[in-house]
Amino acid sequence: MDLIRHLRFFVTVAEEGHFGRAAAALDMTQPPLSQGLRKLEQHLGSELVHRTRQGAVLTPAGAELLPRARLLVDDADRFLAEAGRVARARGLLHWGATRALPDRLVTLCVTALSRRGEATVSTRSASTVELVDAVRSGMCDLAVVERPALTEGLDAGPVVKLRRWLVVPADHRSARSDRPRLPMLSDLTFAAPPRAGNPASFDAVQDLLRERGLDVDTTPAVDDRAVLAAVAAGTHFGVSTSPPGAVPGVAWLDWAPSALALRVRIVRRADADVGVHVDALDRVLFKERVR
Amino acid sequence: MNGGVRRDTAVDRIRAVFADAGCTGWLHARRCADPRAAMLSVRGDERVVLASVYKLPLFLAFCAEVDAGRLDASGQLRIVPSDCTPGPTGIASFRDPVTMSRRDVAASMMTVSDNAAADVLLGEIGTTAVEELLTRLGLTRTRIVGGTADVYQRLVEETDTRTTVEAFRALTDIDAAWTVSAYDPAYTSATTPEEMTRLLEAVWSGSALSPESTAFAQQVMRAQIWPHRIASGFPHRGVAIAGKTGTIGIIRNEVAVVEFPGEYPIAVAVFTRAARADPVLPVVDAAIGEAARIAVTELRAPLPDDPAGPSSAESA
Repeated sequence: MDLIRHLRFFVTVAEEGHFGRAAAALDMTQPPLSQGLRKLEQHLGSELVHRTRQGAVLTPAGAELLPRARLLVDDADRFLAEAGRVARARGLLHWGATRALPDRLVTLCVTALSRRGEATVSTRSASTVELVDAVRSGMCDLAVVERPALTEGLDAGPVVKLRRWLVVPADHRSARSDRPRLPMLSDLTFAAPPRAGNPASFDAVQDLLRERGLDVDTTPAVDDRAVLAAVAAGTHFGVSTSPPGAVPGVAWLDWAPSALALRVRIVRRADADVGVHVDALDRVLFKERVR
Repeated sequence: MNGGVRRDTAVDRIRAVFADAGCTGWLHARRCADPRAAMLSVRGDERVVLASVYKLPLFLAFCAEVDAGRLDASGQLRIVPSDCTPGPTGIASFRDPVTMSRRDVAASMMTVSDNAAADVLLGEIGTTAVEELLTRLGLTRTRIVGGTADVYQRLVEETDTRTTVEAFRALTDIDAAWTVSAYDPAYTSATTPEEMTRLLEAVWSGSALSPESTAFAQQVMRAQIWPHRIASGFPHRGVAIAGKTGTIGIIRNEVAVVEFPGEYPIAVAVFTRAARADPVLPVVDAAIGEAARIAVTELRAPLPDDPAGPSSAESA
């Protein structure tokens, strides 16, 4: 178990006296926090926190262990800064970004990763299936991949939602409508990422469109550029994480932002020493997330 | 590897079927009652979560108790559905108490995966009887830690919810990534695909139960109603599928014996974990059928001609 990480959960819950507030302070959601704390309690063999309707109350064991936990957590921050300097001296960091990520987010991630010092950051842009393989084989140290995806054998972080839009031809009737509805797109073809790149997320998007009344043919479009080109041709629509911009021939539709949001997670090998880099990417993704 | 055209092996094809469906898959298949013991395995020795497939060893243990004279199969039981684990089928879905024979309760558990029936049978024979059967058959990596009631109770605790309905809603939330013990073979009832086909083989070869109980078990298992998993791979006239499914959250399983007329029966066990948390994934159900078909096709063989068989002159 990642003891320091779980101790940080414990210390924060103790300080906030409330799971919801502790989760917010840790920039995470409540379920993984609650599960993490339970794991720690199982690992230590004693209950640390009583869960009550009002919030979280320390048990006698929790109160006794809190001061030492706090020391360890504070020291870990200093240690991680030091470890970061040592790791950077090793040189190259390989990370992967799913092609579904917008350009701006990729460069934000690279900036965050390289800010940790002299490390040179090498970015691989590929499909989720390719990136999971790359992380498993050690060709990538960590990667941001879509969810759902098969990540068996890897450590996967919490799910982060990123804004995603429908993109349609600028002269399409849905682009002029005040309240565009999905069935309006039935005269277009869906320019979608190739299914083999991640069957699970492809199927999830297709099921969402069908559930909302749109069942159309798809043609593969490997990245945003291919999607926008197909859309500008007037024959296709697509989904994109690129925010609305000045792209001739293309219009952005604000449709079902929560359902259509791109879900991503950070994956890494359990034994990879990349905690600082995961934290750096975590912060970037968290700032960019939709609520 | 050498160049040129290479035909994908059955194992490669099965792996591709699972990947295409967005699930991780484990499979083991075995020709039953054949001394040549042909087998096919895709990670078949790894531990996997049983889910409702646990009702199969429970059912066979019930049959063994009847064989040993410790239970009366036709004895009547009164069941109050509201006292039992909820479920969408069978007695678990009833509004009012019923009285049924033990063997009909067992059949309801197997044919429609009746949770209430499983509670009652587990209460009647206990996990000890199941362990005894598993030990007798040498299935050392199969473990039954309790019934559906226990699994649901733990799910409610681990998802910080109050009811089973809320727990399952939390599990299918696409924005949460739960790692509950019900998904972890180390903490819940678990087995290996290889041990499940060994268990089915023991029934089909007649070595696990008395001849009467063997016939009863086979007949009940052939009456399972679900057509969407292994059975979907064999939409042929004359084929019997004797199986038991298991489903919880991202986990979809089925173990079955596929019986083609005039051929050796083939036991096949398929266990999957889906990437998507959605409660219904027809693509994974169909992949279970397709993987089973590829495996079974690889192992099919005609029964040897029996000189004293039913087609001989004196039986006419």
